[in-house]
Amino acid sequence: MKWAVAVFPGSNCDRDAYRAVADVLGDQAVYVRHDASSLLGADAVILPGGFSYGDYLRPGALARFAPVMEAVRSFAEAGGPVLGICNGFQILCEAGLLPGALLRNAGQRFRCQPVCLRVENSHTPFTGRFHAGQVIRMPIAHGEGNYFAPPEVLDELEQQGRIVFRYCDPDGRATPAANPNGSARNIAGICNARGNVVGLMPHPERAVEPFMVSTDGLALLAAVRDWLQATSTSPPDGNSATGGVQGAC
Amino acid sequence: MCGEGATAGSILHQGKAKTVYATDRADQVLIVFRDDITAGNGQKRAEIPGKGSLTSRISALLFRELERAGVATHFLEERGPAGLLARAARIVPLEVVVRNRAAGSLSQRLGLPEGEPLPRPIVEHYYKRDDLGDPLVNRDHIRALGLASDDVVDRMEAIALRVNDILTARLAAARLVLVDFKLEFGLAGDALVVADELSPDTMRVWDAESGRRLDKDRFRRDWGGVLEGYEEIWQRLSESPFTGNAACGAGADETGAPRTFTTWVRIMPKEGMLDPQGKAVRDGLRALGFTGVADVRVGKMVQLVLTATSEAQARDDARSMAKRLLANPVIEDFSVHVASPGEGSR
Ligand SMILES: Nc1ncnc2c1ncn2[C@@H]1O[C@H](COP(=O)(O)OP(=O)(O)O)[C@@H](O)[C@H]1O
Ligand SMILES: [Mg+2]
Repeated sequence: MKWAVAVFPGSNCDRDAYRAVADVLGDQAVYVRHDASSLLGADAVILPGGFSYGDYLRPGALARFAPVMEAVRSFAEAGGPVLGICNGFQILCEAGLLPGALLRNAGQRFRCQPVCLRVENSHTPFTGRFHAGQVIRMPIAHGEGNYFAPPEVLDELEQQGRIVFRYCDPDGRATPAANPNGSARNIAGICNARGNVVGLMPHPERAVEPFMVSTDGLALLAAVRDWLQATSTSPPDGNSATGGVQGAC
Repeated sequence: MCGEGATAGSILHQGKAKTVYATDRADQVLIVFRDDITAGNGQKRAEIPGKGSLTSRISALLFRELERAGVATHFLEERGPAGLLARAARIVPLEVVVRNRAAGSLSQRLGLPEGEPLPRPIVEHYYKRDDLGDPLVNRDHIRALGLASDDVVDRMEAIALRVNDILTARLAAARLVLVDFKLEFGLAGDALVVADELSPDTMRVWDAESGRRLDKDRFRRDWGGVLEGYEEIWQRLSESPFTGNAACGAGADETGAPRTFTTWVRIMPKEGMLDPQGKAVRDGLRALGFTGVADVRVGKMVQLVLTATSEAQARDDARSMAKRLLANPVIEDFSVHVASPGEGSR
């Protein structure tokens, strides 16, 4: 499979992401620049971490106008897997591909440390190698990762199973103490309604080799391969079997 | 020319200080400011020749200032020496008071020394009923009496705070302190507008340097020099930066050739939203010994130089810019201020 790693002025985790999928995972990978208009036929896209456009105005606020974001948007709308990591998550929120916003950490400090995450939804393209409730470990490194959304949006995310990861303690309890940045309901990652666009603050590309915090990030990235295979071998649309709903409008 | 005496029709309302006349248009009224002055809900009264003309002119000047900043008011234009042509409004029976410093009834009820700055503006509602002495009411009272819907109360409160920002800045430019003021609101058609008057009869205004009172408190407390105080306010306001289009066609924004407008967009974290930056700055200030710092919130200010054919267009443009990029509506509120020509960028 082929990955596209987006590169904005100020991205700084693009090479780690590229290395993780190309060298460690052994997939094909290409960089796509902010001014590119196509994703070069990639099967999955990563919006990497960093400080795109210097975090000017608000993190992610300016990156969303980069031409490549048009390509990412249509790719996402067509159901392609999109992963936003850290600043990439902020960009997805600013672009409206994911709800909510990321505020300055409640503790006012930049947090750079390993964290435990509880997998809440194992049905996204990125979580198929985990099971719901599983505790995984990855590092975080951010000053603005405090997830915020109005309560009704949080309820909706909750009801629709769109909270993908929560900060937790090693036993899987999402306690206030395990919350490194004040995120609402300990949210570390969410997905869109269709499930193909996932954003998270922790860095899976920094958890891919034995000397790192864990190799859980590798499992996250590798899951996309399974997901692509499953979607290409299953019948194009389940609707034909049930007759579908016709003339609904 | 629009200064011609209006054809005043029948008297709609004869109040304590103003008379409201019908005009030949059902949607407009003429408000004539009289020289009568009253206090203590009409218990103390006098006539001060020349006062009506001053309160009318000061009101007109401040209404223009609000319109210019995008706040809808009932003001249309000045008529004669002491009259305002206004949009006819159904007055909401609530007076909205905004206080920046303790004074008057607030000082008395809560025992705060007069002049004590309040950490943030206080908004109060009074039921507009002379026979009850305009009692202070809260939201539950307002609901119980059905005086206004929650939505209208929310909007009045938000507008009142906005008006407070605008008037505080405008008066500061004239070296005056806005201690508190009262607003009345009305529905003109579907629009909620600031109505009634904006004058030293309805606001407390102190000289910034000496703290000298220049408003109706001079009458309430028998200090004398009432007219002089009002004169002083008028003089200072009319001499300090101001760009309202003179008496004629006031309020209407003239459109024409494109001009440049320096415009500021002020962006603040939403009310009630955690602001760690503000908290850190607050703690820093306290560490420096500024013990009076009750709260700090950190936002941003964006200065734009816009080419537009009218001030209204510049404001609209800046608003859409704020909505689409400059502010994130999930977490931030914004306000737009278009500079008057004389108002430099500092
Ligand atoms: N645009 C308007 N349309 C109709 N009535 C208005 C308008 N603006 C103010 N009023 C009302 O006109 C009256 C003004 O006279 P005033 O002397 O202040 O009366 P009062 O003694 O009732 O306070 C007030 O009752 C005020 O609510
Ligand atoms: Mg009155």
